[in-house]
Amino acid sequence: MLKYIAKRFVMMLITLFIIITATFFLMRAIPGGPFSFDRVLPPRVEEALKTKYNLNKPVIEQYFDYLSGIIRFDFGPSYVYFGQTVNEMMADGWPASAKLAVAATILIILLGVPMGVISALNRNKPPDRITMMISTIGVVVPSFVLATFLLYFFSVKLEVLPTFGVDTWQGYILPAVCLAVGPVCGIARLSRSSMLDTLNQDYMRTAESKGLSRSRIIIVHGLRNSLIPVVTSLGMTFAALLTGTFVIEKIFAVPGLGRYFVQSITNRDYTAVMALTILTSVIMVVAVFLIDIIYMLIDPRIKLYDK
Amino acid sequence: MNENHNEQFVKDWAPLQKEEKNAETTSGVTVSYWQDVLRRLRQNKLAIGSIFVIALILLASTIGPMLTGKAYETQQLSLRNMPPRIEIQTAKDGTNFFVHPDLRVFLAEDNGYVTEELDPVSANLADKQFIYEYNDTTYYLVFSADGTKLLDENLEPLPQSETVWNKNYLLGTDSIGRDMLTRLLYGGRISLLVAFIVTICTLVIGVLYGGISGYSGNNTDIFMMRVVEILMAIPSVIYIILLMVYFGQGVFNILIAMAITSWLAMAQLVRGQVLSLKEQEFILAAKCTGVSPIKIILRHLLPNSIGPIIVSATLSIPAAIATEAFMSYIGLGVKPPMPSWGILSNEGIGAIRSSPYQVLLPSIAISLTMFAFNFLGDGLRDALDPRLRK
Amino acid sequence: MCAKKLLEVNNLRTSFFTFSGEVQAVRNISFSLTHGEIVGIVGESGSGKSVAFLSVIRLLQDPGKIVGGEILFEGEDVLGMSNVKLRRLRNNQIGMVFQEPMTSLNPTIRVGTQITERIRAFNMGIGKRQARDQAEKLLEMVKLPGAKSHLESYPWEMSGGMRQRVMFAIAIACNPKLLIADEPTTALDVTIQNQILKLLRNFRSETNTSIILITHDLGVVAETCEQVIVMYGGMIMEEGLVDEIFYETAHQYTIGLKQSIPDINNMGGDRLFSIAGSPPSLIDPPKGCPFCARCDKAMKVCLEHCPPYFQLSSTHRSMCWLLDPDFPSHLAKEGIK
Repeated sequence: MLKYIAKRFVMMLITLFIIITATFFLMRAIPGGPFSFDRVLPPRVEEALKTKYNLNKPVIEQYFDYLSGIIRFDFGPSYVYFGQTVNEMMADGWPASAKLAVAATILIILLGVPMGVISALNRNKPPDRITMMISTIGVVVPSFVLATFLLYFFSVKLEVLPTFGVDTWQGYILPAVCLAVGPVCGIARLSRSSMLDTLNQDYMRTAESKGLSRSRIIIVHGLRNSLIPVVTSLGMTFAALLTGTFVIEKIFAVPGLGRYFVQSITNRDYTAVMALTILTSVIMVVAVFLIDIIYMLIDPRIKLYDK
Repeated sequence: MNENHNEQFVKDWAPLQKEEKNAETTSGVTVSYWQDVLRRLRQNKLAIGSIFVIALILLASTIGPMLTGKAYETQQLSLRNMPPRIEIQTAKDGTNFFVHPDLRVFLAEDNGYVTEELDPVSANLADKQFIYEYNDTTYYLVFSADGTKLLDENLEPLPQSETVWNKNYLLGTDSIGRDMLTRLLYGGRISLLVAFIVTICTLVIGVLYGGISGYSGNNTDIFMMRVVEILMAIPSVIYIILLMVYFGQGVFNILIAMAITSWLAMAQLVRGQVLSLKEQEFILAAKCTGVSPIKIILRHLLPNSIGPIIVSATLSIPAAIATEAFMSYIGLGVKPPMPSWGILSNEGIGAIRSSPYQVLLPSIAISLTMFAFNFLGDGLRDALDPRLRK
Repeated sequence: MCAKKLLEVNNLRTSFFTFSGEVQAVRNISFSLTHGEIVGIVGESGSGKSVAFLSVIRLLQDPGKIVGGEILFEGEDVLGMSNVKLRRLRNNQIGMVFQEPMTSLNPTIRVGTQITERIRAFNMGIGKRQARDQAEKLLEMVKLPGAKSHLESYPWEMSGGMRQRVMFAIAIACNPKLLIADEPTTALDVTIQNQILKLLRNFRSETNTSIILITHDLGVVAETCEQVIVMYGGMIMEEGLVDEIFYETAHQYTIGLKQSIPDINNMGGDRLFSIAGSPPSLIDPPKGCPFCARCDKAMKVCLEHCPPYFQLSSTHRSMCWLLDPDFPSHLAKEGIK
């Protein structure tokens, strides 16, 4: 078991290392440097700025400076918003994104799995057909396109929910729903097919032959086995959530990290882009690592591989 | 069936000949695998419908932009933000007016063709009015909380009003007066082009990488797959963002960036297929007769694993469209003024209250295309699944 | 001679409604069982033997349905039973052991729990400790070495023979009156086979539980059963006491089965005997005798009309036109023996 965890941990570190290095060198390699985007600066000013931000040192030195900064969780100053560090700006954006993420996750868990399980138990009957039709839409249409439609119907036409901003808690509803829709439908389909597979297994027949109550058969025997593949797919779900926040926060003007990321890109604020790329990657990789551990804990068969 | 003692019938004790016994042999035409696949695909109405829709979209994107008579980048600022369906109000003397949502008044011909803007003569902002003069008649444009009204000199609504299609811009114009229809069609061209080319790259790189990895086995395979695993730990969107920030916007750039990152899943798929086939006897037979490894990969392994590969490729087209739209949406894709559906969505979202069609049109286009390709991919997957063979 | 019958099945018909049509898996079978009997059900794959007994506890999976007949367990109508009663029936009256020990046990739940859940479903008030003690005793009863530690094991940590024993322990957990064992030894080595069969016999002697043993192996039947039912094409071909079936065989199919048993004394290089042909299609079953197409002695009447059962003794019957009193005696020279 420990070998499994250790292996995964090492892979995680290698991945992070690669992404940090790639990010760093790519950003440094952009022609024109970080200050020449909007305006042409007189050379002396540019020199002064470069010295201030240590851009005159050899690249390798800058690289190690940056690495040591990251370990201390210091992502450096923003090149666009002079005077502010990236850390400060991330701290500003952090709460809104977190609230959104939590809201979306709750939706996913409360809606996704039950939808799929109920569908599987009522195969080919109306609840199944309707649920599957809806989930097809959620899976096929990209989240920002769905966001557009939902925004139009609920905010413009019906005027039930606010269009932009999160001043009230209602402001979180639409973005959270748009963010969660894709993953909810994906999980619904997955748990449906997984449950159907499980229901066909011989051990389900054995359980029934023992005269157990229907609820016990479904929950203890059925769900336990059918949820295992769902857990392993949570990694992809998380990835979709993470990248979804970029667009959703932009559309709904949620003042979170996703919007900050998109703005940094538009403004060519390279330190911010780097920092947010690294942050996103770290979150992603750690999340997958944790999911792997959870998977290992819930599936007793994993221990087989270590024996 | 047994209790027919009372039934009177003659019992013929003559022995049965072999031919008579085997009267009931199983019949059934044996069909080849691919014929069966085609048959099942044809039965899937959703998939067939999708093929038609895709063909239509392809046709529209390819020749459409040339037929509209307008270029995607020409701006006509005075006619900006015109919706696809406009309400023409006709005055007593037959003059046609069109009231633009931006509170501007235009003259129009009878069939709905908008000609020119009419400037107000004066404004009476206290009463919330703009005053216009045309053909010796005074008109008042009154705006209030419940809408804008064009009234005649007696402050009454004009006698006739009719909602018609915008004749000179069939799908309206965007915020700087460019034709939505042309931009939509051209955008389709870009989105589909990117999607197809990226998918081809995915196929080529993924199949080669996965095929070689799976066939080589042992340490080469383990190493190659470790690389893929490590790369896959980060969502490819992040890589594409980084690359695009480095490259800068542009069709060619987004193509490269997407092609570099899209082949990972396909490589894994192909390698899995190759691994499972490698153990089968006909491969052993080919090896024994001295066929070279490349030939084995190309001639024996690939044709047998092509089913899931086709499905994956078909389903990666909508994924590519979505990714390109996503990148263009956040400003890292195609370079304006060149349109793509993502760019159109980005440009239109700000005006969702005043001119919703600007964002809804590309959204509908994306959705339709995504559905069509997905249903086709699903249909192919069902048709190619050997377990469903009857 | 018990007057009251434990299980009575009358004219049972079960079909599977598939895309290709209605597969008539069980086409009218009738038999009965008293307390303490061991009955062997013999037949090829596809003869309907498993389906018949899954029907008895209504454990058919879609698209299977019981289309006709009557099933009485201790006089009570099983087909009309409410779900609650049916669960009770399955819980402590009838135990079933399935064919594949590999897949019939839930891989993510410990073995001990899979036994105790049956005990606790039957006796809601029983404590966890008590239930586990009972489970341990059951594992000892089925001669599973190291019973206590195995309570915590997962099925995939055990061998096939051990798993089969666990299945038995689960099946007998609530002292059922009837135990149905569907090919319990097919997936196992011959040596383990013997152990399992011995287990069955001992169990019956100790508890007077009736056992239905479904198998395709005549050897198993000869060794363990008192009564035998031979099935083919969804119907019962012959039924009788084990001696009657083996020494006074009254059906061509049974004869064929006997001949198919490899003879250890005759290993001189002769080809192994097998009955020519293949089982009949159950979607469009033959209107005559199901075995007609493969029978050496088939006659025109066999093709046209399905024979009735002819009683050869109070316990022995067979479905064959050769037994018809009208059958011309001069042809009986090539009779049945």
